[in-house]
Amino acid sequence: MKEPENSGSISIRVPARLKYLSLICAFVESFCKALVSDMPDSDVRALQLALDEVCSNVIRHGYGGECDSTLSIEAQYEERSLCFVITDQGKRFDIDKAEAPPIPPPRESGYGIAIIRRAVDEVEHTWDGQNNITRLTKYIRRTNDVAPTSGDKPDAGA
Amino acid sequence: MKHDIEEQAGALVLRLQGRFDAASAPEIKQLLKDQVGAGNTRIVLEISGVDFMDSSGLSVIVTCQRLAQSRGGDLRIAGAAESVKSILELTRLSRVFELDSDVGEAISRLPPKSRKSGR
Repeated sequence: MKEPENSGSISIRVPARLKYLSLICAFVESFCKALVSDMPDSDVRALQLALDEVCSNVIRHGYGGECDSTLSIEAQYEERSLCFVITDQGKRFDIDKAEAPPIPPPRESGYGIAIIRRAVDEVEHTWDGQNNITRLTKYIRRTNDVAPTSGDKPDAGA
Repeated sequence: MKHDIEEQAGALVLRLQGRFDAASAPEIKQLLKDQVGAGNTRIVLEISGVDFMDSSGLSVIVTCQRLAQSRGGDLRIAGAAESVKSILELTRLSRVFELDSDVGEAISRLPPKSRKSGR
């Protein structure tokens, strides 16, 4: 399959309602498979999880629950990486200050941040005065690559 | 998410189908808490039909397992697909949770019925 151009992006804007998490996951899967046809399923699932966790946190905590606000997701394709940028107008959030529970023993909550950090290769968060901007980057591996996955990384910041 | 409850060999078997995420987790959590409160503390969560689970679903499992165990029972997971195992790997909980291949195996590993547990 001929690979597409070296860079590009697609954006969606979804209502801040939990029922749209499935749509966001479908968008992630479709984008990954369309741009990187031989991307390992495990990497696609990892990205879906990371986006789901970020968006779920935005809706439940950033906006304080489901509401009529929206969040935008821009999927970016570079030659060596896929990047998803989530922008919301919810309460200002600093992911670097968010606590991730030690594992084990199992806690009853708080796994979202740990999942996000382990599922992707880079997590960046900024506040531009009005918007939370969360950028998730995953380096492109192909099914035949032998490089270690994000999930195999040692506990980094979680 | 769809769910189905049945009794099998003295255990409560809850079969889930669909997404186990922030949208569906509250309903399942309440359902399980109600069952434990009613004395049904030997529980198997059959999730072969779950195609996606996030931290909300995971939280329900941890919470309800602890609740069942506090009443002398247990909650075991059966039929987890790769898409579900991935979240356990990412959270390193695969080292903590034992996954059973099917309902029969899970039931065989539940603690025996006791006066303390209803089932």
